Amino acid sequence: MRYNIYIYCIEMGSFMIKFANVTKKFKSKEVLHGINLEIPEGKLISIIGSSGCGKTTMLKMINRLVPLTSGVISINGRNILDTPPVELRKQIGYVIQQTGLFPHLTIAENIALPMLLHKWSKEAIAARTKELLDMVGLPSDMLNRFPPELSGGQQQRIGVARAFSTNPDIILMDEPFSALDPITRNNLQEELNDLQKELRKTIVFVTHDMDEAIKISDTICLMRNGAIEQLATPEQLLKNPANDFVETFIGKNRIWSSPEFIKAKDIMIENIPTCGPKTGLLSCLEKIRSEVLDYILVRNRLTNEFLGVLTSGMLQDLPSYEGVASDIMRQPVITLSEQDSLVEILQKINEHNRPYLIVLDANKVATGIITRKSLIAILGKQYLSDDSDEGMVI
Amino acid sequence: MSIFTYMFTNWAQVWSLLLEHIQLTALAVGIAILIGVPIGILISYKRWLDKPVLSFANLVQAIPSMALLGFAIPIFGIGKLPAIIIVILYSLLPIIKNTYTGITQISPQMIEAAMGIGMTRWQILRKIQFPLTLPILMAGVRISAVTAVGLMTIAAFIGAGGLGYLVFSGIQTVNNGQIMAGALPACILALVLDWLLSLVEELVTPISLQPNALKNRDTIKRKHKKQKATLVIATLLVLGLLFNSLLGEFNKNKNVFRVASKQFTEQLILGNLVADVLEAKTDLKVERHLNLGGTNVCFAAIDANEIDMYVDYSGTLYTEVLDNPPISDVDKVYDVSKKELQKKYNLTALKQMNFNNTYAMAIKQSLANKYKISKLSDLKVYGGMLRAGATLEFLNRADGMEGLEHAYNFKFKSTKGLDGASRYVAQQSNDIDIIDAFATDGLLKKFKLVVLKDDKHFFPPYYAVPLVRSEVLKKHPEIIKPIEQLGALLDDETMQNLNYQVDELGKNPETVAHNFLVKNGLITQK
Repeated sequence: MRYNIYIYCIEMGSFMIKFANVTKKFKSKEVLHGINLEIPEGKLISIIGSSGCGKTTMLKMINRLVPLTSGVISINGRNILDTPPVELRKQIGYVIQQTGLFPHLTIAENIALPMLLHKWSKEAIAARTKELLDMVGLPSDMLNRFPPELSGGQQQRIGVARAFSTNPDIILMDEPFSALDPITRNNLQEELNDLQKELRKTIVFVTHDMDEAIKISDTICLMRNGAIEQLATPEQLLKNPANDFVETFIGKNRIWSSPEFIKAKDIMIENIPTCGPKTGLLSCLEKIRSEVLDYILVRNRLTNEFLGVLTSGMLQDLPSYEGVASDIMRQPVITLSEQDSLVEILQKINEHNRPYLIVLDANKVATGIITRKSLIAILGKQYLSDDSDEGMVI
Repeated sequence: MSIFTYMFTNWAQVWSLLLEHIQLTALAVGIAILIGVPIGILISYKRWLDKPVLSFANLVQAIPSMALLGFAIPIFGIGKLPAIIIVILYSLLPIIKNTYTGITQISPQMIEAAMGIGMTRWQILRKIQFPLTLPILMAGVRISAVTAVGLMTIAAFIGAGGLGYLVFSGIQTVNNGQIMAGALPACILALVLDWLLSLVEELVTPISLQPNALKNRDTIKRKHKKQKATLVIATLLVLGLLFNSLLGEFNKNKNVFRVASKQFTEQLILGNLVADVLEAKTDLKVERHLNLGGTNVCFAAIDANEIDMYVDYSGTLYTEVLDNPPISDVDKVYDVSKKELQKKYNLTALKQMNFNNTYAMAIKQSLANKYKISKLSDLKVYGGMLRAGATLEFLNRADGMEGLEHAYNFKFKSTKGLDGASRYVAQQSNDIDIIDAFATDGLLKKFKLVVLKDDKHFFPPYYAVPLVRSEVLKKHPEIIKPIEQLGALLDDETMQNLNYQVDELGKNPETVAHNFLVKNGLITQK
């Protein structure tokens, strides 16, 4: 199943860019083998892979910087070959590494280039330029400086501003942040996220940095040797690598650096013993003793709705075992939902100083429990060898 | 004569030659830029063209400039045109190469970025590639321009004028002052041009790419203003000069009469004499192409309608031009030549002048005394011990070296080709023992040389013969009389004296000619 391509289904929405059976040959060497890919409108897709996997080639085929050998690439249903290259490129924003700015032109002139190509008026260009500088968070006194006078991060901001200048629907980014220092890169990634939330462009982003891809993408397209290995959301990719290659590429235990993708559902202890509200306390005590766990969940026998919890501590020192479960069960005020992330779980446990939290699904059915003990075990896992993984969800 | 005295007495001439030099250089480099830059751009796009084009430009650079001039005369004639064409050819390589290098060194990613935002090829060339290439291109132009100034001095060799005229005349007449008066302004011109172009180079370098630019932007901007002003002034001056000369070309009098001369003292004097007399006695506007070149160059020029008149010698015409075996019959030589020139070339040989500038062999007094040599037949005994130095023309003529050795039955120990006055210098420094000379040569007198008697009458007669294009003569028969008057005045002694004044006393051929004519009442004092 190594080459099995994960079938990616998207929610409703139109496809902006579509690759249909696209191949690329450089001389006799085929570097892309029959790529099929649909990029939905308003989403950011990262194409990732090690060098030579064909990711940049794919990107440059979209604006016809690299001609395709066979197959069809279409934008909004229109074959890109039907639009003259220069016209096509004017409709598409393009950001590359530092070299994208022209050193002999001022910042203002660099930003204005695409607008000049669209024959905007001087006033319109000036107004838009100011807006753009504001958008990428740079002071307007930079306009008369030259690119070499700017830091790498500032230059790249200008590059991004230029790509957005004529408000294109599609923006192609070819490793735009890879030459920057980690702190600047991080800032720019966050700013890109914010921009994207607001502007909802269709962005194709080529990178070799998995952290970056996970951080900014709606979808990740993982490439290897000219073919797509897996196409998935960052979360799906982390949790369900399609094969060993993908797993190795994203790195084992990678998910720990993205705790927001670890959900209560993934780490809770399931199959906790249950009883009804009318179950006798004695039989409850027996149940607890026969199980490893210290908890019994009380549920409505008919609807399965969660009613309360009994712990071994509560059952141990009772004067009499005459009553039923509902007499002494606790009804926790704080519960978790299945979609709560690890971060939120830790916050809740700490904030309310709870030894455990019950996980409820949408129907208020208790599906699991997370205890301090189980959390320690889960968190410790990333530092320990993962041979004894079985039974753990992740 | 020192350079200062020469410059002082001839400043007007030096100045006008300098202006001419600037014109020629500017025109040649300007055209070279117009041709070279597009070629450089072309081969940076069509890479398969780069090797052949650059190799060709390299090849042209490798051809000796004299050889290239030789090739150019049959095609382009003489004067400014071939000179400019040759300097253009030489200037192309640095311009093409630097344009090509400049464009190809721009990172391909930058070009791709430009394409990626939707620029057309032309827009990329104009807005990205060209501005980034300009500094390197200008460095190439600088090299070209400086080389062109130097190369243009050689242009005087084919009558283009310019400072080279002074250098060549100076070499002919062993006048160091005159050589320096040509060479020094050429050097200064090259330095000034280099400096001006360095300003351009700095100006076209984008501020951001200049060293230290980021710190001292305001200083640089202020400096740029001054540089711009300097350049604007310089450009206006050069344009003014070009425009002036263009106007001159347009206003060229149709009645212009072109007088040429070969490139040695007597010819320069004769050229000036003829030109001055015609100017005074006729309404013709005389154009001087003095110091043009050897017999071949001058005859080719008159045959190609590049010039209208020059003075040659009967023997030269008879053997060299008309390819007859050398004879010593004075009248036969003239009559046959006259007939054949008219028939074959439509040229009229006017009446012979009164002096016979035949070849002579000359040795130093000390050598003549030592071996008791006084006539050419003595060479049968001593010739094998002597090293000869002769003009290239003499070595190549049937009535020159070959005929001489044959007629007197001897062979020199060695023969060396040396042009112009340098063979006198070589003889004085004992590098050679015997030289060819013209009987009327003033340098014979200057260096006190002994002329060996032609006791077997080997050398053909070399009476001066004014040659005129018959077409022109038909239109302007009025030139015959003054030329004949002049010819009658010039006998062997007079001519030698005139030559002596130039070669020995360091006077100008122009001045000497002028004074002679005034003294003899042919023209009035200026």
